[in-house]
Amino acid sequence: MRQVFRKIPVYTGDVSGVCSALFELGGMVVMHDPSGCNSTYNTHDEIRWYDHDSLIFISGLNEMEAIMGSDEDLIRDITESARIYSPGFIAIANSPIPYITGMDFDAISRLVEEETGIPTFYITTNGMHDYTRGAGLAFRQLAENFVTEPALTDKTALTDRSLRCNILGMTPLDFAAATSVESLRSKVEAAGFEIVSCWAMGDDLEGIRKSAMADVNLVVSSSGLAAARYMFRKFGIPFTAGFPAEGTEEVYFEAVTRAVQTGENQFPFRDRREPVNDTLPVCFIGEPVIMTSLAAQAEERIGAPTYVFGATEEADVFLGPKDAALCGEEELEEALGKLGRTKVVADPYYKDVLPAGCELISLPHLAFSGRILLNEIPDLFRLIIHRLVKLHKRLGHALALPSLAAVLRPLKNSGQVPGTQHLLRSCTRPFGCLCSLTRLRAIGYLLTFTSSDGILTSASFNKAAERKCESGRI
Amino acid sequence: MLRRVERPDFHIDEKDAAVRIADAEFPVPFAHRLEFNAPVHGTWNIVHIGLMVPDCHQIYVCADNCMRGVVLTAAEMGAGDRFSSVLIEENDLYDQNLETITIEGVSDVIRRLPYRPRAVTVFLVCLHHFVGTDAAFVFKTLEERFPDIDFMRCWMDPVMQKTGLTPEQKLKESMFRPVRPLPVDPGLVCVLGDNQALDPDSDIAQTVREAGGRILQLNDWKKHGERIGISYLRKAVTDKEAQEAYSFMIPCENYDDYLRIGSAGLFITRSPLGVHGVYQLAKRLGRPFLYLPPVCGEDRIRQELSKLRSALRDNLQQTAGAAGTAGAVRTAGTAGTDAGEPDAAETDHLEGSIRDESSASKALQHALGLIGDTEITIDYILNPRVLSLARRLLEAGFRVTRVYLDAILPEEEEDFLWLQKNCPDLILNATIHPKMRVLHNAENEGKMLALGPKAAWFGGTAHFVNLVDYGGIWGNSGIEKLAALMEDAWLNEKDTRSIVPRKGQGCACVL
Repeated sequence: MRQVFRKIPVYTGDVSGVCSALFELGGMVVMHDPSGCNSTYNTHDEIRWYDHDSLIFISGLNEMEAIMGSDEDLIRDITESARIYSPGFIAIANSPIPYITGMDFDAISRLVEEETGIPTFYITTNGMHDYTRGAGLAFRQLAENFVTEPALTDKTALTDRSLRCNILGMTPLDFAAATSVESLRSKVEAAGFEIVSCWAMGDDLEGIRKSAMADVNLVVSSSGLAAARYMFRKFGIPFTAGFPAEGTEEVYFEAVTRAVQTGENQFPFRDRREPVNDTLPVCFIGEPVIMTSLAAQAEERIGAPTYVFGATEEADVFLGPKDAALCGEEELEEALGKLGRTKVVADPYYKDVLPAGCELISLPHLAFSGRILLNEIPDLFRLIIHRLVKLHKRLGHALALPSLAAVLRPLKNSGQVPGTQHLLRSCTRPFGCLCSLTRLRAIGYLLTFTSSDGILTSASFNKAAERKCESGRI
Repeated sequence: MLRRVERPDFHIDEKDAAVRIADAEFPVPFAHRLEFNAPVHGTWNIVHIGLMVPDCHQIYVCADNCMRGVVLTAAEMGAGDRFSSVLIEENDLYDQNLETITIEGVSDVIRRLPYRPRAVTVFLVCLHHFVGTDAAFVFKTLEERFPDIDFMRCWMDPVMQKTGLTPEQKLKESMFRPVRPLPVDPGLVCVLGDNQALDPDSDIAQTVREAGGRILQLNDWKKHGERIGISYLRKAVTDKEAQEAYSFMIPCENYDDYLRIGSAGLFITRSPLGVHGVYQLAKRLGRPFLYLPPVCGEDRIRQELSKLRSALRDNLQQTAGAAGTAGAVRTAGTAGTDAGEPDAAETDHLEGSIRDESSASKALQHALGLIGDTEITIDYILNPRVLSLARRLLEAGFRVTRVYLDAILPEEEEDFLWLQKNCPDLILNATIHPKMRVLHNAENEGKMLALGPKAAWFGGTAHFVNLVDYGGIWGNSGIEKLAALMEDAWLNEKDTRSIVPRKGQGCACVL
């Protein structure tokens, strides 16, 4: 059955997507839900929760309130909190129970806005979609409520200035590495573009308000699509889907410029070129904008055929003729089975659905495996995916979960200190090993390991791997 | 670079989020408003609890956003292979009443599993209630399809928890449904319904041992070959010594061990959330039941131990032939009630064997000598009888200033009234009030000793005792160990940031 997930987790839900999208903008987000959504979000989906006092609350809906409506209670609670904090806006997200009881959130939003004088909007989640939809709806609401036509003085001719852009779809759910925003900004600026706003990491509501001054939108994940479409229709701002992965900057920024020149939306990595050699195909599974961008990089450098299986909603928009949008575990297993022997770049928690002959190249994704592999999530804008694939080929290992650190910790706790032999047996996940070096050291292991084919056996390899790990290159 | 969302530049006071106990209303000191969730996740959820049943597979039937939390809980436990899910979509709500997707989804999971589970916990959710799902029909169909599997009817329905039983309370009933009556083993004491394994050194365990009994619990110290939950208490004990000293603690490593619960001669729970389920089990089997909450006062501990000894004495006088006989549960103590003072004869009988009261007091005094006048805060996560603990520490001379809780257990009324009268300035502090988003200290800003992970986070201190559900300790020995943990916490800093966000303190964790 398509809806059955026997082996793999599910992606972050839509309500969490809303919260993640709006986290840094100084607003207040209220999830109208009994309890679970809030805890799930701030435990598994929000890596900023410990350090940042963002105003995200849950209503604590109970059975009687759900049945009776109790709109006035919700309005009172939101209004009281709004008076404490004076947020820049109030966003109300729906969840499964109010969804089926048909609560009138538009009316509630209007009443809250009247009471508080604070812009208030409703985000039409229902808990049954993934984060790309939730974050997308949130960004679109931002666009509708805060982005206004720029004043004539701001519309100077293109010839007098550099091109301006907004970055749409930046959330830690897709870009969890701490350096991500800075990496992307530096690439965009190095290409000669001026960044008006970044939706929504490292920016604020004032930046968002100015977004219509941009000439083009950079949709770096599916979450940015709804806002990009809105701004295309409302302000005529075209968008380019994808991001400048290492080595693809030229192609990417050419597409961005073309979008400005033609006024047409661009998908530079959707129609990737045909393979030039008979190298093993590389399949990418995950969020489609990210995966098509990385696939383009790998195809360019390796020459291998690449396929992208988009696993989040509305993936079709970003996928080319070789790719497919897949829903669920069974569809994925079937599609991979048809591909035959292949390398698969995906979150390690996809391992269990790979048929025999597939090699998993680990690329952890916060929106899939959560915080479990957080320290191993790379900066995608600096990632060199083809090196990952090639190195994996040299090592010739199958990947296995749990990570090495997870394998070893119980041994350490039980007082057994594994020797090299034990490490060798445990070392089925080379990139997990590389990336876990710091963690292993932290739990007190001296790490010596080798590969089964003996290619890399020396301490220098460990040191090299460690350097890469520490520099965030993997 | 992430941009820090700054706290508001205007002052936010504690009004409505904190109150002097003298001014507090019982049992709900704070109004229900929007809720904040602190980044402290050490408490157990229904995934942790359900997975205590050995050889059992969990299947959740719910929407994506609800599924995310439970599937990753299992993954963080390294128990993803015992967990599956069936996603509900909009069409399932429009087309039928969720029976079909639930039955067919669960069936599909079971057929595709690489092993045949002895038992399956199926979790239905709020949506099933609201669309009128016929849960009885669902489970009847599943039981007919898979007659060799015990199905546990569970709920993840937090929308019901403020007007009825919580999902945890329901689970702690459902997870014992497959237990069938077996011939009574009068010496077998089942300690169930608690998340943390009972400390073998605890007054309860040692009292059972002295009476010649044995203890069976689900989350025992041998689970999965690891000493989960209580290993920190016995660092100095080698495995071999522990095996001998604690041989009265019976392992529960597989489903057959679990089914031995049906032969228990006495059921005990320490958890207020375990009372309903364990009581129902005892009632169904016709066995005695005791609720022994983790009280901290000397008199209260003595009373609870008196109840235990009385029950053990009665039980061991029984013949083993009474297995499964009909009759009301012989309840030595039930939820929310106190057993009352033991009679004089009973007190005389017990006087000689009550242990460690003076040791507990000495341990507290020793800790007080070290900790002195330092401010102490306590949270309800550390011990559900948090007011009892606060009272004991205040009576011992500690400077307890603040207790973090959102509601007061009805069974804590006596301690609440005592504190109102004797320590009127003690602050009760909400944890979920919206103001608590900003009313917390920054990391390492607080100069205090916190008892419990939430108190540590709110206080911004690295000096804290990291216990959840009292960590399995109990009674006078528990007080002794708590005093030692307080001393250790005062002398040694902990990495609060790394520790408190972890889920299910005491469980396996791959983080």
